[in-house]
Amino acid sequence: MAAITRAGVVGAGLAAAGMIAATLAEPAMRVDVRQLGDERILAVDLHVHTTPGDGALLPWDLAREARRRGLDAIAITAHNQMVAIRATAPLSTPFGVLLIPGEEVTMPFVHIAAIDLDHAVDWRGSIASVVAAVHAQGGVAIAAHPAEADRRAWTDEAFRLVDGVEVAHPTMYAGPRNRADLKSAYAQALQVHPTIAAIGSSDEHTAEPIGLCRTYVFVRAVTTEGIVDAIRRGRTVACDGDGVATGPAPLAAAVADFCRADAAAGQRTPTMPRLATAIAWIGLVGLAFCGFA
Amino acid sequence: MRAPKRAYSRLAANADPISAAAALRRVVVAALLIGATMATTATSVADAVVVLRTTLAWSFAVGVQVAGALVLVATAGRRRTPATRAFDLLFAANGPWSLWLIGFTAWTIFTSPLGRPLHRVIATLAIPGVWTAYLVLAYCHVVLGDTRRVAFWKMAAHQSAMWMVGAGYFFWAVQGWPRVIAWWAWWVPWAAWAGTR
Repeated sequence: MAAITRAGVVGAGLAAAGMIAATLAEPAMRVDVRQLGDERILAVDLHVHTTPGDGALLPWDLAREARRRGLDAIAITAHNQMVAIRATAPLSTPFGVLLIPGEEVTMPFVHIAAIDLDHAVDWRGSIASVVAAVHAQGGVAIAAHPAEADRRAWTDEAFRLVDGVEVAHPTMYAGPRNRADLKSAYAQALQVHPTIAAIGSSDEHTAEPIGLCRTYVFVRAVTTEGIVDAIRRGRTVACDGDGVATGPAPLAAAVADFCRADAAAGQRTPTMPRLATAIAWIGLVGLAFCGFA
Repeated sequence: MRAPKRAYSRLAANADPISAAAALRRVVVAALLIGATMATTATSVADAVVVLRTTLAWSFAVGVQVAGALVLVATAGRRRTPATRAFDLLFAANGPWSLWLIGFTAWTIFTSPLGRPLHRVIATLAIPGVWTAYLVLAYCHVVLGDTRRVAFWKMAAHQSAMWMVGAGYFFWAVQGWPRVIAWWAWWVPWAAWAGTR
Protein backbone atom coordinates (compact mmCIF):
# COMPACT_ATOMS: atom_id res chain seq x y z
CA MET A 1 0.00 0.00 0.00
CA ALA A 2 1.28 3.55 -0.32
CA ALA A 3 4.54 2.01 -1.58
CA ILE A 4 5.52 3.87 -4.70
CA THR A 5 5.15 1.86 -7.91
CA ARG A 6 7.51 1.75 -10.86
CA ALA A 7 5.09 4.04 -12.73
CA GLY A 8 5.19 6.38 -9.75
CA VAL A 9 8.99 6.53 -9.81
CA VAL A 10 8.94 7.28 -13.54
CA GLY A 11 6.20 9.90 -12.98
CA ALA A 12 8.13 11.59 -10.17
CA GLY A 13 11.27 11.59 -12.31
CA LEU A 14 9.46 13.09 -15.30
CA ALA A 15 7.77 15.72 -13.11
CA ALA A 16 11.07 16.76 -11.53
CA ALA A 17 12.96 16.74 -14.85
CA GLY A 18 10.20 18.67 -16.60
CA MET A 19 10.04 21.34 -13.90
CA ILE A 20 13.82 21.76 -13.78
CA ALA A 21 13.95 21.95 -17.59
CA ALA A 22 11.10 24.49 -17.60
CA THR A 23 13.04 26.60 -15.10
CA LEU A 24 16.24 26.45 -17.12
CA ALA A 25 14.49 27.03 -20.46
CA GLU A 26 12.66 30.15 -19.36
CA PRO A 27 13.58 33.16 -21.47
CA ALA A 28 15.70 35.87 -19.87
CA MET A 29 13.85 38.48 -17.88
CA ARG A 30 12.96 41.44 -20.08
CA VAL A 31 14.16 44.92 -19.14
CA ASP A 32 13.08 47.41 -21.80
CA VAL A 33 14.21 51.01 -21.31
CA ARG A 34 11.79 53.25 -23.19
CA GLN A 35 11.91 57.01 -23.27
CA LEU A 36 9.85 59.92 -24.60
CA GLY A 37 11.70 63.21 -24.20
CA ASP A 38 12.68 63.48 -20.55
CA GLU A 39 10.00 61.03 -19.45
CA ARG A 40 10.60 57.30 -18.95
CA ILE A 41 7.84 55.04 -20.28
CA LEU A 42 7.08 52.27 -17.79
CA ALA A 43 4.85 49.28 -18.46
CA VAL A 44 2.73 48.65 -15.38
CA ASP A 45 -0.20 46.51 -14.28
CA LEU A 46 -2.13 48.35 -11.58
CA HIS A 47 -4.71 45.70 -10.69
CA VAL A 48 -3.49 42.21 -9.74
CA HIS A 49 -4.38 39.68 -7.06
CA THR A 50 -2.11 37.37 -5.06
CA THR A 51 -2.08 34.78 -2.29
CA PRO A 52 -3.21 35.30 0.46
CA GLY A 53 -6.35 36.45 -1.31
CA ASP A 54 -8.01 35.22 -4.48
CA GLY A 55 -4.85 35.21 -6.60
CA ALA A 56 -2.86 32.08 -7.39
CA LEU A 57 0.69 33.25 -6.74
CA LEU A 58 2.64 34.86 -3.93
CA PRO A 59 3.56 38.52 -4.55
CA TRP A 60 7.24 37.83 -5.30
CA ASP A 61 6.37 35.05 -7.79
CA LEU A 62 3.95 37.43 -9.46
CA ALA A 63 6.74 40.03 -9.58
CA ARG A 64 9.00 37.47 -11.24
CA GLU A 65 6.28 36.71 -13.82
CA ALA A 66 5.74 40.44 -14.30
CA ARG A 67 9.42 40.92 -15.14
CA ARG A 68 9.26 37.94 -17.54
CA ARG A 69 6.40 39.73 -19.32
CA GLY A 70 8.23 43.04 -19.49
CA LEU A 71 6.43 44.92 -16.70
CA ASP A 72 8.26 47.46 -14.56
CA ALA A 73 5.72 47.79 -11.74
CA ILE A 74 2.60 46.06 -10.43
CA ALA A 75 0.05 47.13 -7.84
CA ILE A 76 -1.15 44.36 -5.52
CA THR A 77 -4.85 45.08 -5.10
CA ALA A 78 -6.53 42.47 -2.92
CA HIS A 79 -10.23 42.83 -2.15
CA ASN A 80 -10.62 45.10 0.90
CA GLN A 81 -7.38 43.95 2.57
CA MET A 82 -3.63 44.40 2.27
CA VAL A 83 -2.32 41.24 3.95
CA ALA A 84 -0.15 40.03 1.05
CA ILE A 85 1.48 43.34 0.26
CA ARG A 86 2.24 43.96 3.93
CA ALA A 87 3.98 40.58 4.14
CA THR A 88 6.05 41.48 1.07
CA ALA A 89 6.97 45.04 2.08
CA PRO A 90 10.65 44.26 2.86
CA LEU A 91 11.01 43.02 -0.73
CA SER A 92 9.45 46.02 -2.42
CA THR A 93 11.37 45.59 -5.70
CA PRO A 94 11.79 41.83 -6.23
CA PHE A 95 13.34 41.07 -9.65
CA GLY A 96 13.55 44.82 -10.23
CA VAL A 97 9.76 45.12 -10.32
CA LEU A 98 8.27 47.89 -8.23
CA LEU A 99 5.56 46.45 -5.96
CA ILE A 100 2.96 49.12 -5.21
CA PRO A 101 0.66 48.65 -2.21
CA GLY A 102 -2.97 48.91 -3.20
CA GLU A 103 -6.45 47.58 -2.64
CA GLU A 104 -9.42 46.76 -4.80
CA VAL A 105 -12.05 48.52 -2.75
CA THR A 106 -14.93 46.11 -3.28
CA MET A 107 -18.20 47.91 -2.71
CA PRO A 108 -21.68 46.52 -3.34
CA PHE A 109 -22.16 48.14 -6.74
CA VAL A 110 -18.72 49.22 -7.81
CA HIS A 111 -15.04 48.38 -7.47
CA ILE A 112 -12.25 50.94 -7.18
CA ALA A 113 -8.56 50.10 -7.65
CA ALA A 114 -6.80 52.21 -5.02
CA ILE A 115 -3.07 52.62 -5.65
CA ASP A 116 -0.29 53.63 -3.25
CA LEU A 117 -1.96 53.15 0.12
CA ASP A 118 -0.60 52.93 3.65
CA HIS A 119 -3.59 51.08 5.02
CA ALA A 120 -6.79 49.53 3.72
CA VAL A 121 -9.73 51.79 2.92
CA ASP A 122 -13.15 50.92 4.35
CA TRP A 123 -15.52 49.69 1.64
CA ARG A 124 -18.63 50.84 3.51
CA GLY A 125 -19.38 54.21 2.03
CA SER A 126 -20.06 56.07 -1.18
CA ILE A 127 -17.72 56.42 -4.15
CA ALA A 128 -17.01 59.98 -2.94
CA SER A 129 -16.02 58.88 0.57
CA VAL A 130 -13.82 56.03 -0.69
CA VAL A 131 -12.03 58.27 -3.21
CA ALA A 132 -11.54 60.93 -0.51
CA ALA A 133 -10.01 58.31 1.80
CA VAL A 134 -7.65 57.18 -0.98
CA HIS A 135 -6.61 60.75 -1.77
CA ALA A 136 -6.09 61.47 1.93
CA GLN A 137 -3.39 58.77 1.93
CA GLY A 138 -1.74 60.30 -1.15
CA GLY A 139 -2.97 57.56 -3.46
CA VAL A 140 -4.97 57.50 -6.66
CA ALA A 141 -8.37 55.93 -7.32
CA ILE A 142 -9.19 54.10 -10.55
CA ALA A 143 -12.64 53.00 -11.73
CA ALA A 144 -12.18 49.22 -11.96
CA HIS A 145 -13.82 47.33 -14.85
CA PRO A 146 -16.78 49.72 -15.30
CA ALA A 147 -18.80 47.17 -17.27
CA GLU A 148 -22.03 45.16 -16.88
CA ALA A 149 -23.78 45.86 -13.56
CA ASP A 150 -20.96 48.15 -12.35
CA ARG A 151 -21.39 50.45 -15.37
CA ARG A 152 -24.58 52.09 -14.04
CA ALA A 153 -22.85 53.33 -10.87
CA TRP A 154 -20.31 55.33 -12.87
CA THR A 155 -22.08 58.64 -13.25
CA ASP A 156 -20.56 61.93 -14.39
CA GLU A 157 -20.12 62.92 -10.76
CA ALA A 158 -18.26 59.68 -9.97
CA PHE A 159 -15.93 60.09 -12.97
CA ARG A 160 -15.10 63.64 -11.86
CA LEU A 161 -13.79 62.22 -8.57
CA VAL A 162 -11.53 59.37 -9.72
CA ASP A 163 -8.08 59.70 -11.25
CA GLY A 164 -8.29 56.93 -13.83
CA VAL A 165 -10.59 54.50 -15.56
CA GLU A 166 -9.88 50.95 -16.72
CA VAL A 167 -10.53 51.07 -20.42
CA ALA A 168 -8.60 47.86 -21.13
CA HIS A 169 -9.49 44.89 -18.92
CA PRO A 170 -9.97 41.16 -19.67
CA THR A 171 -13.74 41.57 -19.22
CA MET A 172 -13.73 43.15 -22.71
CA TYR A 173 -13.16 39.65 -24.13
CA ALA A 174 -16.21 38.25 -22.36
CA GLY A 175 -18.53 39.79 -24.95
CA PRO A 176 -19.17 42.80 -27.16
CA ARG A 177 -21.37 44.46 -24.54
CA ASN A 178 -18.55 44.56 -21.99
CA ARG A 179 -16.18 46.01 -24.59
CA ALA A 180 -18.76 48.67 -25.44
CA ASP A 181 -19.27 49.41 -21.72
CA LEU A 182 -15.55 50.07 -21.17
CA LYS A 183 -15.38 52.23 -24.27
CA SER A 184 -18.44 54.26 -23.31
CA ALA A 185 -17.18 54.65 -19.74
CA TYR A 186 -13.91 56.15 -20.98
CA ALA A 187 -15.75 58.45 -23.42
CA GLN A 188 -18.09 59.61 -20.65
CA ALA A 189 -15.19 60.10 -18.24
CA LEU A 190 -13.26 62.19 -20.78
CA GLN A 191 -16.26 64.49 -21.22
CA VAL A 192 -16.34 65.44 -17.55
CA HIS A 193 -12.69 64.87 -16.60
CA PRO A 194 -10.47 65.54 -19.65
CA THR A 195 -7.20 64.55 -17.93
CA ILE A 196 -8.50 61.27 -16.52
CA ALA A 197 -5.91 58.52 -16.94
CA ALA A 198 -6.57 55.68 -19.38
CA ILE A 199 -5.69 52.49 -17.55
CA GLY A 200 -5.17 48.93 -18.79
CA SER A 201 -5.06 46.16 -16.17
CA SER A 202 -5.09 42.37 -16.22
CA ASP A 203 -6.98 41.88 -12.91
CA GLU A 204 -4.75 38.81 -12.64
CA HIS A 205 -6.17 36.04 -10.46
CA THR A 206 -5.14 32.78 -12.05
CA ALA A 207 -5.88 32.30 -15.75
CA GLU A 208 -5.59 35.92 -16.93
CA PRO A 209 -1.86 36.39 -17.62
CA ILE A 210 -0.38 39.36 -15.81
CA GLY A 211 0.13 42.26 -18.22
CA LEU A 212 -2.44 40.88 -20.69
CA CYS A 213 -3.87 44.39 -20.53
CA ARG A 214 -1.34 46.95 -19.29
CA THR A 215 -0.71 50.64 -18.82
CA TYR A 216 2.17 52.69 -20.12
CA VAL A 217 2.91 55.52 -17.72
CA PHE A 218 5.11 58.47 -18.67
CA VAL A 219 7.05 59.17 -15.49
CA ARG A 220 9.54 61.79 -14.39
CA ALA A 221 10.90 59.44 -11.69
CA VAL A 222 10.94 55.62 -11.61
CA THR A 223 9.27 55.39 -8.24
CA THR A 224 5.79 54.75 -6.89
CA GLU A 225 5.39 58.51 -6.46
CA GLY A 226 6.45 59.01 -10.09
CA ILE A 227 3.78 56.56 -11.28
CA VAL A 228 1.10 58.12 -9.08
CA ASP A 229 2.09 61.58 -10.36
CA ALA A 230 1.83 60.41 -14.00
CA ILE A 231 -1.66 59.03 -13.35
CA ARG A 232 -2.76 62.31 -11.76
CA ARG A 233 -1.47 64.22 -14.79
CA GLY A 234 -3.20 61.80 -17.19
CA ARG A 235 0.14 60.79 -18.73
CA THR A 236 -0.91 57.19 -19.38
CA VAL A 237 -1.97 54.93 -22.23
CA ALA A 238 -3.99 51.74 -21.84
CA CYS A 239 -2.94 48.75 -23.96
CA ASP A 240 -5.29 45.79 -24.48
CA GLY A 241 -4.63 42.17 -25.42
CA ASP A 242 -5.20 42.91 -29.11
CA GLY A 243 -2.42 45.51 -29.09
CA VAL A 244 -4.74 48.52 -29.28
CA ALA A 245 -3.47 51.61 -27.43
CA THR A 246 -6.04 53.99 -25.89
CA GLY A 247 -5.26 57.37 -24.39
CA PRO A 248 -4.23 60.90 -25.37
CA ALA A 249 -3.40 60.75 -29.09
CA PRO A 250 0.29 61.83 -28.96
CA LEU A 251 1.05 59.42 -26.13
CA ALA A 252 -0.89 56.55 -27.75
CA ALA A 253 1.05 57.10 -30.98
CA ALA A 254 4.34 57.00 -29.05
CA VAL A 255 3.64 53.55 -27.58
CA ALA A 256 1.58 52.00 -30.41
CA ASP A 257 4.44 49.74 -31.51
CA PHE A 258 5.31 48.71 -27.94
CA CYS A 259 1.67 47.90 -27.31
CA ARG A 260 1.39 45.67 -30.39
CA ALA A 261 4.66 43.88 -29.60
CA ASP A 262 3.86 43.39 -25.89
CA ALA A 263 0.36 42.10 -26.67
CA ALA A 264 1.71 39.56 -29.16
CA ALA A 265 4.47 38.45 -26.77
CA GLY A 266 2.02 38.09 -23.90
CA GLN A 267 0.00 35.44 -25.70
CA ARG A 268 2.72 32.98 -26.56
CA THR A 269 5.04 30.91 -24.44
CA PRO A 270 8.30 29.77 -26.08
CA THR A 271 8.39 26.14 -27.27
CA MET A 272 11.01 24.77 -24.86
CA PRO A 273 9.37 25.83 -21.58
CA ARG A 274 6.03 24.63 -22.99
CA LEU A 275 7.48 21.23 -23.86
CA ALA A 276 9.16 20.95 -20.46
CA THR A 277 5.89 21.91 -18.75
CA ALA A 278 4.03 19.23 -20.73
CA ILE A 279 6.60 16.62 -19.61
CA ALA A 280 6.28 17.76 -15.99
CA TRP A 281 2.50 17.39 -16.17
CA ILE A 282 2.68 13.93 -17.76
CA GLY A 283 4.87 12.96 -14.81
CA LEU A 284 2.47 14.47 -12.29
CA VAL A 285 -0.48 12.62 -13.85
CA GLY A 286 1.48 9.36 -13.69
CA LEU A 287 2.39 10.01 -10.06
CA ALA A 288 -1.16 10.93 -9.05
CA PHE A 289 -2.96 8.05 -10.76
CA CYS A 290 -0.43 5.21 -10.97
CA GLY A 291 2.03 6.22 -8.29
CA PHE A 292 0.96 4.10 -5.34
CA ALA A 293 0.12 0.42 -4.98
CA MET B 1 -12.85 5.73 -8.93
CA ARG B 2 -15.74 4.05 -10.80
CA ALA B 3 -16.29 1.10 -8.41
CA PRO B 4 -15.10 2.48 -5.07
CA LYS B 5 -16.54 -0.26 -2.83
CA ARG B 6 -14.74 -3.00 -4.72
CA ALA B 7 -11.53 -0.96 -4.87
CA TYR B 8 -11.63 -0.09 -1.18
CA SER B 9 -12.40 -3.72 -0.22
CA ARG B 10 -9.30 -4.81 -2.11
CA LEU B 11 -7.11 -2.04 -0.66
CA ALA B 12 -8.36 -2.48 2.91
CA ALA B 13 -7.79 -6.24 2.82
CA ASN B 14 -4.13 -5.62 3.55
CA ALA B 15 -4.00 -5.20 7.33
CA ASP B 16 -0.29 -4.41 7.61
CA PRO B 17 0.32 -0.97 9.16
CA ILE B 18 2.34 1.58 7.23
CA SER B 19 4.63 4.28 8.57
CA ALA B 20 3.39 7.84 9.08
CA ALA B 21 5.76 9.01 6.34
CA ALA B 22 4.30 6.50 3.88
CA ALA B 23 0.79 7.64 4.84
CA LEU B 24 1.70 11.18 3.82
CA ARG B 25 2.77 10.36 0.25
CA ARG B 26 -0.65 10.89 -1.32
CA VAL B 27 -1.01 14.07 0.77
CA VAL B 28 2.24 15.42 -0.67
CA VAL B 29 1.12 14.58 -4.22
CA ALA B 30 -2.24 16.30 -3.61
CA ALA B 31 -0.42 19.43 -2.39
CA LEU B 32 1.98 19.32 -5.34
CA LEU B 33 -0.92 19.06 -7.81
CA ILE B 34 -2.57 22.15 -6.32
CA GLY B 35 0.70 24.10 -6.39
CA ALA B 36 1.53 23.00 -9.94
CA THR B 37 -1.98 23.92 -11.10
CA MET B 38 -1.83 27.39 -9.57
CA ALA B 39 1.66 28.06 -10.90
CA THR B 40 1.01 26.71 -14.40
CA THR B 41 -2.35 28.40 -14.92
CA ALA B 42 -0.93 31.75 -13.80
CA THR B 43 2.35 31.62 -15.73
CA SER B 44 1.84 28.94 -18.45
CA VAL B 45 5.07 27.31 -17.23
CA ALA B 46 5.75 24.72 -14.50
CA ASP B 47 8.85 26.48 -13.15
CA ALA B 48 10.25 24.36 -10.30
CA VAL B 49 10.84 27.26 -7.91
CA VAL B 50 7.43 28.81 -8.48
CA VAL B 51 5.69 25.41 -8.22
CA LEU B 52 7.40 24.60 -4.91
CA ARG B 53 6.70 28.01 -3.38
CA THR B 54 3.09 27.97 -4.59
CA THR B 55 2.69 24.43 -3.21
CA LEU B 56 3.81 25.68 0.20
CA ALA B 57 1.58 28.76 -0.02
CA TRP B 58 -1.50 26.64 -0.78
CA SER B 59 -0.62 23.75 1.55
CA PHE B 60 -3.22 25.03 4.02
CA ALA B 61 -5.84 23.57 1.64
CA VAL B 62 -4.36 20.10 2.08
CA GLY B 63 -3.88 20.78 5.80
CA VAL B 64 -7.65 21.15 6.12
CA GLN B 65 -8.11 17.81 4.36
CA VAL B 66 -5.59 16.19 6.70
CA ALA B 67 -7.55 17.50 9.71
CA GLY B 68 -10.78 16.14 8.19
CA ALA B 69 -9.15 12.75 7.56
CA LEU B 70 -7.85 12.52 11.13
CA VAL B 71 -11.32 13.18 12.51
CA LEU B 72 -12.90 10.59 10.22
CA VAL B 73 -10.35 7.91 11.10
CA ALA B 74 -10.58 8.69 14.83
CA THR B 75 -14.36 8.28 14.81
CA ALA B 76 -14.40 5.00 12.84
CA GLY B 77 -17.04 2.52 13.93
CA ARG B 78 -15.56 -0.94 13.39
CA ARG B 79 -12.29 -0.19 11.66
CA ARG B 80 -10.04 -3.20 11.08
CA THR B 81 -7.60 -1.32 8.88
CA PRO B 82 -4.66 0.25 10.79
CA ALA B 83 -5.06 3.99 11.36
CA THR B 84 -2.18 5.10 9.13
CA ARG B 85 -3.41 2.91 6.28
CA ALA B 86 -6.99 4.17 6.74
CA PHE B 87 -5.69 7.75 6.65
CA ASP B 88 -3.78 7.02 3.43
CA LEU B 89 -6.81 5.39 1.81
CA LEU B 90 -8.98 8.49 2.25
CA PHE B 91 -6.52 10.41 0.07
CA ALA B 92 -6.95 7.74 -2.60
CA ALA B 93 -10.37 9.39 -3.06
CA ASN B 94 -8.68 12.55 -4.36
CA GLY B 95 -8.86 11.26 -7.95
CA PRO B 96 -11.82 13.40 -9.09
CA TRP B 97 -10.20 16.60 -7.78
CA SER B 98 -6.88 15.63 -9.34
CA LEU B 99 -8.65 15.10 -12.67
CA TRP B 100 -10.34 18.51 -12.37
CA LEU B 101 -7.04 20.26 -11.62
CA ILE B 102 -5.38 18.53 -14.58
CA GLY B 103 -8.29 19.43 -16.86
CA PHE B 104 -8.31 23.05 -15.68
CA THR B 105 -4.58 23.37 -16.28
CA ALA B 106 -4.82 21.78 -19.75
CA TRP B 107 -7.68 24.17 -20.60
CA THR B 108 -5.59 27.22 -19.72
CA ILE B 109 -2.57 25.90 -21.62
CA PHE B 110 -4.45 25.05 -24.82
CA THR B 111 -6.81 28.04 -25.04
CA SER B 112 -6.21 31.71 -25.76
CA PRO B 113 -6.03 33.94 -22.69
CA LEU B 114 -8.46 36.32 -24.38
CA GLY B 115 -11.99 35.65 -23.13
CA ARG B 116 -11.67 32.56 -21.00
CA PRO B 117 -15.11 32.01 -19.38
CA LEU B 118 -13.82 31.38 -15.86
CA HIS B 119 -17.25 31.74 -14.26
CA ARG B 120 -18.57 28.82 -16.28
CA VAL B 121 -15.56 26.72 -15.33
CA ILE B 122 -16.33 27.29 -11.65
CA ALA B 123 -19.69 25.54 -12.23
CA THR B 124 -17.81 22.36 -13.17
CA LEU B 125 -16.54 22.12 -9.58
CA ALA B 126 -19.83 20.32 -8.88
CA ILE B 127 -18.60 17.23 -10.78
CA PRO B 128 -15.58 16.38 -8.57
CA GLY B 129 -17.64 17.52 -5.58
CA VAL B 130 -20.39 14.92 -6.13
CA TRP B 131 -17.95 12.24 -7.29
CA THR B 132 -15.76 12.67 -4.20
CA ALA B 133 -18.79 12.45 -1.92
CA TYR B 134 -19.62 9.09 -3.54
CA LEU B 135 -16.04 7.86 -2.94
CA VAL B 136 -15.97 9.07 0.68
CA LEU B 137 -19.29 7.30 1.31
CA ALA B 138 -17.73 4.03 0.13
CA TYR B 139 -14.63 4.76 2.23
CA CYS B 140 -16.64 5.26 5.42
CA HIS B 141 -18.63 2.08 4.83
CA VAL B 142 -15.83 -0.23 3.69
CA VAL B 143 -12.64 1.07 5.33
CA LEU B 144 -14.03 2.58 8.54
CA GLY B 145 -16.58 -0.21 8.99
CA ASP B 146 -19.53 2.12 9.56
CA THR B 147 -23.09 1.09 8.77
CA ARG B 148 -24.60 2.53 5.58
CA ARG B 149 -26.61 5.07 7.57
CA VAL B 150 -23.70 6.22 9.74
CA ALA B 151 -21.41 6.24 6.70
CA PHE B 152 -23.84 8.53 4.89
CA TRP B 153 -24.02 11.03 7.75
CA LYS B 154 -20.26 10.96 8.28
CA MET B 155 -19.70 11.59 4.59
CA ALA B 156 -22.22 14.43 4.66
CA ALA B 157 -20.57 16.03 7.72
CA HIS B 158 -17.06 15.59 6.31
CA GLN B 159 -17.92 16.98 2.89
CA SER B 160 -19.94 19.85 4.39
CA ALA B 161 -17.01 20.79 6.62
CA MET B 162 -14.57 20.71 3.69
CA TRP B 163 -16.87 22.82 1.50
CA MET B 164 -17.57 25.27 4.32
CA VAL B 165 -13.87 25.86 4.97
CA GLY B 166 -13.23 26.26 1.23
CA ALA B 167 -16.21 28.55 0.75
CA GLY B 168 -15.24 30.51 3.87
CA TYR B 169 -11.77 31.23 2.48
CA PHE B 170 -13.24 32.13 -0.91
CA PHE B 171 -15.82 34.41 0.74
CA TRP B 172 -13.04 36.25 2.60
CA ALA B 173 -10.74 36.39 -0.43
CA VAL B 174 -13.30 37.83 -2.85
CA GLN B 175 -15.03 39.83 -0.09
CA GLY B 176 -18.44 38.25 -0.28
CA TRP B 177 -20.33 40.70 1.92
CA PRO B 178 -20.46 43.64 -0.52
CA ARG B 179 -21.50 41.22 -3.27
CA VAL B 180 -24.24 39.72 -1.09
CA ILE B 181 -25.50 43.24 -0.37
CA ALA B 182 -25.54 43.96 -4.11
CA TRP B 183 -27.55 40.81 -4.86
CA TRP B 184 -29.83 41.49 -1.91
CA ALA B 185 -30.46 45.03 -3.10
CA TRP B 186 -31.12 43.76 -6.60
CA TRP B 187 -33.90 41.52 -5.25
CA VAL B 188 -35.11 43.89 -2.54
CA PRO B 189 -34.90 47.48 -3.82
CA TRP B 190 -35.60 49.02 -0.42
CA ALA B 191 -32.28 47.59 0.86
CA ALA B 192 -30.43 49.93 -1.50
CA TRP B 193 -32.74 52.79 -0.56
CA ALA B 194 -32.08 52.07 3.13
CA GLY B 195 -28.47 53.09 2.68
CA THR B 196 -26.49 50.13 1.39
CA ARG B 197 -25.46 51.97 -1.74
